[in-house]
This record gives sequence, C-alpha cells and structure tokens, in this order.
Amino acid sequence: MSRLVALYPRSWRERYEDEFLVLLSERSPDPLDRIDIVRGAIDARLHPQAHRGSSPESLEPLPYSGPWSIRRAGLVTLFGGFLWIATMGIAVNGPIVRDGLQVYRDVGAARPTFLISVALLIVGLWAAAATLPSTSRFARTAAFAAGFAGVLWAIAPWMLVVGAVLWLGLAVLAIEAARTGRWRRSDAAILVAGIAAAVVVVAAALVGIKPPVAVSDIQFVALLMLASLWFATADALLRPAIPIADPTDDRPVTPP
Amino acid sequence: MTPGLSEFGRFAEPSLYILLSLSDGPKHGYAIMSDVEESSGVPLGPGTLYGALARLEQRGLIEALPPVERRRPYRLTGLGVTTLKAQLDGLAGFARTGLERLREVAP
Repeated sequence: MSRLVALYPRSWRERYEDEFLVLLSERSPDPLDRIDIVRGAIDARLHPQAHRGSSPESLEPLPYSGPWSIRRAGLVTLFGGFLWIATMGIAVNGPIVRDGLQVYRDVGAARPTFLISVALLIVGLWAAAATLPSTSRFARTAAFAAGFAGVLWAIAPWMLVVGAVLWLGLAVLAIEAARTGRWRRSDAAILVAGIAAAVVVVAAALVGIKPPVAVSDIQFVALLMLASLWFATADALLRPAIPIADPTDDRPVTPP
Repeated sequence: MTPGLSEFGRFAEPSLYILLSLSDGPKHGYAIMSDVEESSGVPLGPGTLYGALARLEQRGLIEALPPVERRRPYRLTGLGVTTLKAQLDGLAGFARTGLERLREVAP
C-alpha cells in the first residue's frame, strides 16, 4: 500500500502520509479504493496548492514555479521546438533527386527528427491542457484532438490536413491559456514575434524580395506561427503565471 | 460573504458530506468515512477523502487537532459552520421549490 502512497508528492506525504496509512490499515482498500488513491495522487500533483496548509497567508496566490513534472514537460517542449527548427533546416537542405521524370528535393532525411520533435510537442500540448481549469473543456478537447492529429502528422508529414489540426489545437490551447491567465507577457511576445516575422516574410515576397527558402508564403506563415506557438507553450510551462491548477470549476454542488 | 464549495470541483460533494459529518463533533479520517457512508449511503474513497480534507483545511473550513494514536481528528471552524449552514439553507430552498412544483403538477 505504501507504493500507492508513494505516488503522492513529497509535500503531501509530509503532511498526510502518517494518518493516511493509519486509515488504510483500518480499512483494507478494495480495488476501487486503490483506483481512488491513484486518482487522489494525480490530483495532489496537479493541484499542489490544495495541500499547502491552512494558514491565512497560504490562501493568497503565491509566486509559483509549477511542479517539476510540468516544468519537465516545458523543457521537453522547448527541446522539441529547437529540434523542429533543425528538422526544417535538414528538410530544405535535403539532397536533390533526379529520377528521370522530375527533379525534386528529398526531405526524407528529416523524417526521424520530425517524428521526435512532433512527439515532444504533443507532450507539451497535453501538459499545457492539464494546467487549464477543468471548466476549459473545449480547449482540453482541442488539445487532445491535436495530440492525436500530431501523432498522425509525425508518421505521415505529407498529410497537411492533420498538421493543420495540430496547429489549430495549439492555437485554441494558447488562447484559452491566455484567457485564463496562464500566460505571461513574454509568452504573448513570443507569439507576436512569430506572427510579425511571418508578416515580414510575406511582405518581402509581395515586394519581390526572394524568400530565404523555397516554400510558399502560406507555408511560411503557418510554420513561423507554429514555431512561435510552440515556444510560447514551452515558456508557459516552464514559468507558469499563476498557481497551476487554481480551481475555478464552477459546477454546482449536487444535492445529496 | 460565505465561501461556497463549487470551486472544489469534483471534491465539492464529498466536502459537503465531510462538513456534515464533522457537524456533531471532531472525527478522524476513518470515522468520517464510516459516518458519511452510513448517513448518505455514498462510499467515500481514501483518495477522495484526503483530497477534500486538504481543500477544506486549506480554505480554513476545518482544522486539524493533535493526533491521538497516529489518528488525526478534524473539526469544523467557525467559517466551516457558516459555510455548511449556507449550503444546507441552499439545499433546503432547492428541495422546497421542487416539492412546491411537484404539488402544482400533481393530479
């Protein structure tokens, strides 16, 4: 049983472990109780402020750096973002192939890093969704759907539709994170910088300046915005603006 | 202003049961579980019990007493009593309205 209790964060165990183990020794837990304990441990990790103590100062919002699991997801997302940029570099510099019928650039060399980078983005997507309040159902669903679209896209990068679903899911998540106060100004600044860079590229193309790589303007806008959304999500996970799971669930109390 | 329990999310209903259980005196975890199950028929899992206890304690609705043989009893605070009363008043109004409406539609 102590293995299940070990799933709880250390701060929770310091406060409740002793009495919790006494409770479990008095009432032998059945399988449903074991599931309930695991759910409780997940909740304690997602809502660390809920067991911070009962002193009046603990009721005030505190500067909060987020649990390590969320920050780790931020690091993974950040690394994935850099890997994705490297992937784009590999793709646009791939070998030129002449197969007798046509001449094209082989982007297959970028497939492994593309797959890994999108997988890392999905980790960030789902971690960011977990930090949203439970009332943000639409954004959580969008993040979930975007994750599955990302899996498909990672396997088949030529399926631009699923790539677009991933992009849209990330955008919905970012809007909801900003709306519920999960974003700092720096996150918004990263996104604005990405959009501004995309606008500059398109404007340059319109006035006849050759883009730095041979892709269409629309692709450039989408890719730059995806990159900026990606880095903003990583930043929000690494440096959350407010306590991560400030409970704002507004479901009414069900009459007993 | 009386704080509600709705911000507790899925722990709102168990929290109400716990407040009700503590209304006749301090109890430790196992006694709360037994009392809630006996009075409401709703089994309270250990993870849910301690998720709700942590929230109630953090919000100052209950307070922990010194442990007795490693069992730590909890009791209602003044704020907890006020909150429980407000919740029960709300439920009483809800039940009253429902019963009146049923009387109006009864054949």
